[in-house]
Amino acid sequence: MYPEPNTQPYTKGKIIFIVEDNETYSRSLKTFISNSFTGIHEIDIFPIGEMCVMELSREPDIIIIDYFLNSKHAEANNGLEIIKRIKLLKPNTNIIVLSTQEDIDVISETIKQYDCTYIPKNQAAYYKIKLSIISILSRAKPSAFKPLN
Amino acid sequence: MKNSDSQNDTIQENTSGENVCDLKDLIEMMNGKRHLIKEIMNTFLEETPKELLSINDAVTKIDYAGIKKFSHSMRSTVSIMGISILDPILKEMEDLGTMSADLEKIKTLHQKLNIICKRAIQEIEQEVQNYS
Repeated sequence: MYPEPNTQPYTKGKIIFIVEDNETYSRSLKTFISNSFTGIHEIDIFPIGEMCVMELSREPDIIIIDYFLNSKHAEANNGLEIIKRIKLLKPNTNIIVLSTQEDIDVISETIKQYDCTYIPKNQAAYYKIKLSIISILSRAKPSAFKPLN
Repeated sequence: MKNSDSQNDTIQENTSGENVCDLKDLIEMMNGKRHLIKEIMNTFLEETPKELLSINDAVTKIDYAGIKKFSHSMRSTVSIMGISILDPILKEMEDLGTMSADLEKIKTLHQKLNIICKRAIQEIEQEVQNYS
């Protein structure tokens, strides 16, 4: 049903953040990604967006974020606020936004403005996430050489 | 009470004889790796009762914002287990929660949600035995 992509990007040392407050979804997604890309260094789950923002200094290669985040913590910021803060602090971060299909009209402006990839949360979502990760990591430049001081 | 019983009967008739969960996509996504599938099924069994409690609480307290949020969130859970029968129910609860409207309809949907979730949990509990 889902054709296996024939590209395997360079995944060694890569870091992926998952920002999702639905635990079943986030844990399943983490399992799926680690199973699909064996070389990935770290996949971290953040149920609250603010926690992810605090960890941006770890330079995640990709952040996968649910657009509607505050289902469990009413005082937490929603996905849009978190995306704004991520892009302000780390403008080059690759962001994949997850949301239900019918939200696309609401979030399309955010997607364009903050240069995110949108994936609807349906049964094909994981497969599309996999393709997006391949696409992002395949075009990523190798880490810059840092000369010794 | 009688009304409620007959509604339950109708829901049970509508879902009887066929599984409410369709694990085809999950199995495919995990490349059939049994330990991963089992891990996800266990997460579902652990988390779904908590999610249901949150929704139950919101309905009892007539907390429309809560109904909206928790119904929306639960749609992610049901998508993983392929419980497609629940998506329109949760979507309608979410919409009614957004509009702060029609509590009676919300209660009916909530009742369906509980029955179908109970059924889904039973199915996954049985299924997970095959992955031991």
